[in-house]
Amino acid sequence: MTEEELVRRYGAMVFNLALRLTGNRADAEDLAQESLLKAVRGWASFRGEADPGSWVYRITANAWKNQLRSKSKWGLGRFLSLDGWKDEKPFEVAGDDPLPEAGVEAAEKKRLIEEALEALTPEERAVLVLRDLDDVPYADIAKILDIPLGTVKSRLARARDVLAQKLAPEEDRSVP
Amino acid sequence: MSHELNKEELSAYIDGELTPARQAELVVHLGGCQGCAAYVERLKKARVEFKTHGVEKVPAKVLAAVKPRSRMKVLVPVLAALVGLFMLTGIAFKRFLPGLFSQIQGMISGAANEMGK
Repeated sequence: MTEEELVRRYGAMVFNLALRLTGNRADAEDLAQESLLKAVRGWASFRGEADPGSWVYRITANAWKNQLRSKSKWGLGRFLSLDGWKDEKPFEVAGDDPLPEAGVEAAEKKRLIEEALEALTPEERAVLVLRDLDDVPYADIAKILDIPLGTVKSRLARARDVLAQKLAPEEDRSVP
Repeated sequence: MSHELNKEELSAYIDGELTPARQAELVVHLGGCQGCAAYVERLKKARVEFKTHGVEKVPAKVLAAVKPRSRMKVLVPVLAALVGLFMLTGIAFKRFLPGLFSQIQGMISGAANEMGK
């Protein structure tokens, strides 16, 4: 696999993972760009001991953790700065482009998904994205996010439960 | 009906991440438990919806910023710049140091003649 193929294959997933970890589009673009650049630069020294996807996702997760650490380190500066209290919308995913899906139903599904994701923690969203968008095995998710296997299972179960409540609510079986 | 299933286990079940023995037990259980079977169906449906509508397109500017440049794309402009620099140096020599230019030209011609013998 060349660097171009690596970006083509995993670029979208890295962006989606970054989006769900950061919770906003601007930070996700920065994180995805940083992670993909690191992956491209390190690709020559990648020995193939892990799945390339897991390797790229781990780079993304680590870059996100570093960003968080750095933000918390400078948290006091932000607190003191005049624009430190700008009202940030926690989950702004819509870009300038029109919705790729046509139709009201698709837009509604998208809205419900975003609502469900807002109710989850970044770590729960990350597990959901890795498993349900790219079928990453549980053991690999545990390594990527550096968490125990049991935590992968519990986070995924909660994320799916919240998503199912929004997208496939339980039918009302009560008799009128 | 009493059973020991939980949502975590049903979630792992749809991924085939349980032990083969437990997976088989659940297959049997789901055949007779409407509540668990309905929950599994809801999870599967939500997963399909998420895969269909939950993917965001990666912005072109992100891809453009990380686009790996091929060696040829780097080499060609560098070579062109070197050739241009060489030619400009030659022109400058001929114009501002004509004596030195003729001397170098003579040396090159001499060397070429020697090689031709």
